[in-house]
Amino acid sequence: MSLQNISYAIAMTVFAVSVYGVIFKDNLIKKVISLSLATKSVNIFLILIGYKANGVAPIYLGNIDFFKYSVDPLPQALVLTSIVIDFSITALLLYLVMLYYKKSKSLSASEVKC
Amino acid sequence: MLVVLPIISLLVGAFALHAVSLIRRDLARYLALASAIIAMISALKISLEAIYGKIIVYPLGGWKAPYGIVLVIDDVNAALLLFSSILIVFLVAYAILSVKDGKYLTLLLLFSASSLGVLETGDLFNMYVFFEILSISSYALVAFSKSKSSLKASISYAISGSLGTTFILLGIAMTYASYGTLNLAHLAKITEHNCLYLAITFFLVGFGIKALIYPLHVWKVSALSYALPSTSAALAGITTNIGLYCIFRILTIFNALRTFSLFLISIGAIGIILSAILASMQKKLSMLLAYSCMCQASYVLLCFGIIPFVKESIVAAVFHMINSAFAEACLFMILGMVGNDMSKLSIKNSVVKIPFILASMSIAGMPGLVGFVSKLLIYEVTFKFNALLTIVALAGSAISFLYFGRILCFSLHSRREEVRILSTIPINTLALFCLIFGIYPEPLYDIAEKSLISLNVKNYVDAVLYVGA
Repeated sequence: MSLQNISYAIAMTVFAVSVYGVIFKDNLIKKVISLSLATKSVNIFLILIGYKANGVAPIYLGNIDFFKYSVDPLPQALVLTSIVIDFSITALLLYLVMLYYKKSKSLSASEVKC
Repeated sequence: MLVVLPIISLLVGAFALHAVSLIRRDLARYLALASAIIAMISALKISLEAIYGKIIVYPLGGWKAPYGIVLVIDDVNAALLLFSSILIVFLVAYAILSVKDGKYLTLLLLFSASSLGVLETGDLFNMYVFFEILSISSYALVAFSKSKSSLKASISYAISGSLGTTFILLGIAMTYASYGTLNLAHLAKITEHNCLYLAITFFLVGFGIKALIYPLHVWKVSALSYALPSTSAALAGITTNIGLYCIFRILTIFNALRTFSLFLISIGAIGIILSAILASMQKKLSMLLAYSCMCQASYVLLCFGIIPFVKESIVAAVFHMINSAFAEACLFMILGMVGNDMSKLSIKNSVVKIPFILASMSIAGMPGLVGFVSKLLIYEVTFKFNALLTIVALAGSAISFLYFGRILCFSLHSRREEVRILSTIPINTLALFCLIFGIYPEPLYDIAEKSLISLNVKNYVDAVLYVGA
């Protein structure tokens, strides 16, 4: 079992743990943290897809063995986008939870159910 | 250029709104309406061009298909683009008349821009990004009134929805790891024989929460019933169709409609019966409308499931998506003008009464209105596949006659009451749409019938990958 396979397994374990957190934790802040963690584990998964041993930055400077060593730039672009999206969702959710806490003095998720 | 204009004009309108409102308050509203109308005109032009001509492919930044992001308009999304952009104009007009806050309009325009973006794009990751913008702005829109119940609904909708979109991202990561491309046409070309069922299941979960399908409906139903009426109209009319469109697109691209057909049929059938029964038990009008919206989404899902056996069911699905979006949006707009409590509900003025009768009967499937035509198409295709499903569809329709009939019997009063005529223009126009296309459904049917062409993925692939070759 190579190092890369172990990393894939770690990413998926973190994802499973965070999905557990979103579903079963009662505290709303903990739910938001788990949600953020879920996106982060998917980001790790995406980074691992683009991983290459001894890889170099994909900037073509005329060297012949460029295609052998350059890493795939697309997963990095995807991760960058998903970090921004994750940031905005977390910010919005924390704001909503803050407003809710001011109204009801409670962070329990079981009261949020409509 | 014309292809990106609908998205760009709405985005520019959303952000220029604040700069303009610094100079003059009321100018911002006209700007919002103007950007929606520009988006509608350009969307009309390109979608009619795509429907009556060939598939439009627009490479963003000049990068050709498998390398860059492309915007693709084929027959299915052209039909949805056309009617979504018309609906957006009504939604913006209604929001201007009912919610007097510039920030609301910004969120609504962002919502509309991203919804058109999801429809137009031909790249899986781009679809995800637009879908996230759509989701984030809809969470903010649901919580906009800042009342305790709307905050509750928004938090539960946001947590479940963003877990769903994380699943979509994981599905995209798996797709990229397996096939090395995210362009939809390129994926369709590669995945002709094998496919990634786990990733597709993740996509179904993520899009299903927004599409209001059976086991994932809880959060969106509560969001629909506690949000402001103009928000509910937008969520019911546009987001549901976007979710259903994404499910359809993913399943056709991965060539997995046949594999998932039994699943879609069963979920659709359960959803129709369950949502109809739940709708008839509600005490609040907003809940009733939310469940009836779920019922319409289940009909569409049922049609998607039958596509591999009866090809014409895609026509029924597209037709039903379009007409139920208009009728549902109309009903949610009326909800803002009458009360929410069913026992005290009384609709007095005839400028509100007539559109309510037309839209609710159109959803139930009264002959002479556009809902009947789409229900008839659904009965026809389900009968060709299995008569048992026709009984299910008929039962759903019968129960919706029951719960709308209850309102029509007990809540329509003849006593006059003052209503601002201007604020009833959007609902009356939408109701008129139900009546006109009910009497003369040919143009709408023609547009929906064209979607049979795009069922053949090969056309899509050829148009995108061999553009100009």
